[in-house]
Amino acid sequence: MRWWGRQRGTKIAEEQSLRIVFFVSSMMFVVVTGWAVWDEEATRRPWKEYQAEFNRLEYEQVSQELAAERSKLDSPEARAARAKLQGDVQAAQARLAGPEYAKAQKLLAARQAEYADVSMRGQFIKSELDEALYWVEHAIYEKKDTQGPKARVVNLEKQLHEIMPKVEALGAKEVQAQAEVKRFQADVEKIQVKIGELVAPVTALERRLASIKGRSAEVKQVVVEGLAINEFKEPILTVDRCTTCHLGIDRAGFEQMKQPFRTHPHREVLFGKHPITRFGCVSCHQGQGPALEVDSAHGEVKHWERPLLRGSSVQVSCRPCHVEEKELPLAPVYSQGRQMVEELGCFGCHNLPGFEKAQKVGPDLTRIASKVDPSWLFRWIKDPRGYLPKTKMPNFGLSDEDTLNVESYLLSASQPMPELRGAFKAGGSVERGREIVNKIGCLGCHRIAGIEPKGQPSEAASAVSARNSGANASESEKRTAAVMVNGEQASQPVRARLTAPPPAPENQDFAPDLSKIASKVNADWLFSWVKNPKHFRPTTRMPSLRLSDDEARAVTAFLMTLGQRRPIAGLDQELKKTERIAAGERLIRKRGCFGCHDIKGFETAEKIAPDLSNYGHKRLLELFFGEAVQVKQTWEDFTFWKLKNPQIYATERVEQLMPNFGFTDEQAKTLRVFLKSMSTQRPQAQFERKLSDEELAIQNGRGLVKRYNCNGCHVIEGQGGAIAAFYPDKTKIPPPLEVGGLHEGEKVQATWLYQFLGRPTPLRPWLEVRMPTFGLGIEDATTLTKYFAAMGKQRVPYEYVSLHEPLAENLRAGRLLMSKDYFDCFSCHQQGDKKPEGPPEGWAPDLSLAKRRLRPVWIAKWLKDPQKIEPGTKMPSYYPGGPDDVFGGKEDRQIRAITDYLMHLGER
Amino acid sequence: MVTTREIATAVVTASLIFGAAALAQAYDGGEVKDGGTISGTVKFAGAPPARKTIEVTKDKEVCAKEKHLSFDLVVGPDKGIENAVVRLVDVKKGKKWASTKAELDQKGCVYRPHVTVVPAGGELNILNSDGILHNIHTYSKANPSINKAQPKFKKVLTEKFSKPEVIKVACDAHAWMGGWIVASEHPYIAVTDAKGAFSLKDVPAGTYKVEIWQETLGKSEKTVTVKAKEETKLNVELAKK
Ligand SMILES: [Cu+2]
Repeated sequence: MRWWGRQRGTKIAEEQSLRIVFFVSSMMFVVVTGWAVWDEEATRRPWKEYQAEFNRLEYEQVSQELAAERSKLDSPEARAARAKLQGDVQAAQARLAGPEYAKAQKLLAARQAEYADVSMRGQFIKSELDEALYWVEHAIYEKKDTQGPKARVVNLEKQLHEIMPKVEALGAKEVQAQAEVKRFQADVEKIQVKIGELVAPVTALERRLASIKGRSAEVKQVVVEGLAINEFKEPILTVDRCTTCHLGIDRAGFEQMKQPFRTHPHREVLFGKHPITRFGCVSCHQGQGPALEVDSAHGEVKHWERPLLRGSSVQVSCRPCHVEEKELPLAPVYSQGRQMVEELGCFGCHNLPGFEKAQKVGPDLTRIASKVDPSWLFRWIKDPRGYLPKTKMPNFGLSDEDTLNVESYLLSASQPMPELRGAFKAGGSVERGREIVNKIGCLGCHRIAGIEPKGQPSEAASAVSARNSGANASESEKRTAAVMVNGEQASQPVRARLTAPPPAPENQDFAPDLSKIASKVNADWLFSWVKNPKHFRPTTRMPSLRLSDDEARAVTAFLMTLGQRRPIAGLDQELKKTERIAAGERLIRKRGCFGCHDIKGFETAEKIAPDLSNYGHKRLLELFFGEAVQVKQTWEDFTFWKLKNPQIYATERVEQLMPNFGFTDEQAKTLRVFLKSMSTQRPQAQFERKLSDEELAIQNGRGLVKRYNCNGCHVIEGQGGAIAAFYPDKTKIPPPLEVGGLHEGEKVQATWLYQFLGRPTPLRPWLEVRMPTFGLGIEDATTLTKYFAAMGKQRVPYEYVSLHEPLAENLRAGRLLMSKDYFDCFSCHQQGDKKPEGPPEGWAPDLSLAKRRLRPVWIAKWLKDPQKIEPGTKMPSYYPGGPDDVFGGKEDRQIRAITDYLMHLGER
Repeated sequence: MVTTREIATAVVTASLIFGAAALAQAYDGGEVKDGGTISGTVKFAGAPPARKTIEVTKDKEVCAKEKHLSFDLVVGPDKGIENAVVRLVDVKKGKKWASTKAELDQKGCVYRPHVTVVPAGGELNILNSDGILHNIHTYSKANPSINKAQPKFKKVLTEKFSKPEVIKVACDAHAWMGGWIVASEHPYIAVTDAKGAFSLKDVPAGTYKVEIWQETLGKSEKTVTVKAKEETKLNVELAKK
């Protein structure tokens, strides 16, 4: 300080030296600049390291591939092939240098000269002709003698006529000679191309290596237009730089690489339909597109509202554009969650977009008093799973008091049973009832303890699909099923079905388990129900099996032996108390029982629970955690625990009305993915994926197949048919409809199918299992008809129109071929009222129905090779091997004749 | 009537029996000098069940000429079991197949014989002496299953079974018709006669596993040592399982 002062003191400012100050500050400046550059380059650009590493890894990978290709090229065979080609090249080159080539060239030169000569002469003659013509005109104009010039014209024209063919002939010869010369050159070129092809993989890889070396680090970005929408609902441009680090995302061959370099799963399908340049990354995965540092790019930093969707939760992003689709093969968890909502009926209490028209999922309770035992009902309301462990009905956690109140309202509001034609009288045969239940088809949907599958577990069903495993369908389904189970992504065709295969009979829980049914229902009710379920409840899914009174009595008698009643003493008096009825009504209103059940007095009641149509975007402050401090403060945790146990958020002042569904962790997570997708944001119209008519037919049809559990009895899309396990005799199982090369929609006429679905008539008298009457309305029957047609790649409507009268000789031949002396078709096939000999087990379908039922194209296909369409069928192959004395043994003509005859059977 | 389950069980058993053979190396056929013979009988242990009478429900004018008895287990007077198959299992080398063909007739709506042995890869001529519609429906695993119609005009149908296997054959037009086709790689295979007797000739000296199979009684296995030019006796009893 003193030194400084002394300096200042002794010299005036202008004379003071600032050298040291300058030096020090400029040094600092240099250091800071250096540090800034270093910091910018080294620490602020972590992506550079990723790129370097990716380049290194790719280089290694390509080098390995190159080594493999080189060694392939070094194999004795490849060497021999190359040596041979080299030899060929040399030979060809030698030929090029040899006398033959020289000869060809010489010939070409000669031909060229000849041609040039003649063609020039031709040209001269043409010119002279023009001149002569001029002189003719001139003579006419000058009114001179035209004779001389005209003679010259004629002479010249004659010369021209003579020379033109020569010109053409020589021209052709020249072309030929040229081709000859070229052939020598082409030989060499062709072989060289072949050699090039042989080493092409190696050169391609070498080029790739060189290009990797030549890469410089750069930020890669995609500008996405119109997919994101700002606060004012206007489409905006967004920038994604994700590919700066995710370098292998849109390139095949990096499937096994570590992240962030791995190829996108299902890249070909997903990027094929969603090119990265149009959709970017953030529109599906969320995160912070322009950021270039890991955590901020993934949006996993404070104040970024849309962090990366990890794991299966990314599937929620499919919904906005694919809102029409119920099943998305590449979004299995989302699709399954959607299906859970559909089955559980969440929409009974919550407003959920897409389920506006869905029916209530629980049974109608307006006639509950005549249906069930009051003691059973008490226990059921209190703990549904105590009776049916797999029931959808949730637990409301009611006290005994509340349970009594609810029950007393339900019973008091119950209406009398509709009038029945033949009431149940005791005395039905239990044994006969058991037999009927065993055979008639109840087991396609219901499970009854004590009636177990007779074969090995669904042997017959698996036999059907196994035999058809030639079609990749079943394999892909297995894989799809695996996806469903593991929640992992495996490669699979996109069109494959998603839903897990229908359960084996022992896990069958489509319809209630009847093992303890007698402890629940009244015999009178049961009788009228099995006789005609729709009579009791028009919207029920339970079909009619067209039981006679006797059969219904026997079935009732048998079912009433299953289970024991356990009366609760004094229950009746309690239930009759009027204060209970009023309290019950209040409770039903509060808990929303009418969301799933029809209850008298609640026909117009509103949904009781919050609207969930934008639930995925709920912010934390909108979620009520109550006193549940153990739950982490995230949307994910809140939702998970809400599903697992709603009561966790109940406090002294805030009740939780949602019942407990007893979800497993897995189920809660699946449902959470669907809830996360609940959003009112809509993309612009051009991004919405509309279903085609065909896709819609398939989607709607699958919905009905599931709704009516067609899969319980029939193999459809390679799945189902588990009822077969109850029939040891394979000939007694319901026919498969849609598996391998077998397509019901290709086989039968749409009109017939439509009518059959509405009112089934037995086709196969040897079956004890009955095709039920589902009482399908016009809409449902049409949907199913369209579905089967779409699966069979057929159009609807379809009508068989014979464009011209079939030839009489065809009809004659058809009849002859089918007669006893030839194919003897009616040895097994029925023909209207004419039945074959022997027991019905040995019969085959009625051929007089063929003209109304079957498509002629299918008949021909079937006759050609029935085993190919339905492996294991009883129908034997007649071809090849038709008789020689009909149409000279010509297979196609014979098949045509039989088809024609079948399509006119009964007419003559 | 033979149910699916029985067929399936039989096919599974059969494929188990011959599975090992299929895996083994191909059989080498040639000259055998000084071979021995294995002969003996297969008998039923216990009281033999009576053959069931089968009701002919169809095509009676052809099928019901004779009384029909079931063929699943035929036990003769001395308890000898007819139609049991006796074969060497692990034979690699031995005599050549004398024939490359076999014949199976459908007569009176019965397969004759009930068990037909055919060289693997050889031709089986299936005749239809009945002149009515039958179909040949086979249930097999190693070979492709076939289901071919054999109407009146088709007197002979020729089929080949390239892999060794025991194959169930049935007719869908006549539910009672059932028989077996046994495709074998080597000729050391015999079907027992009405007395339950069989013999395997020209067996090169050595120790062999012998398998005895009957469609309802399943299979059993014995070990036999064959000496040159000598006859080795093998008497087997099969019982209901
Ligand atoms: Cu037959």
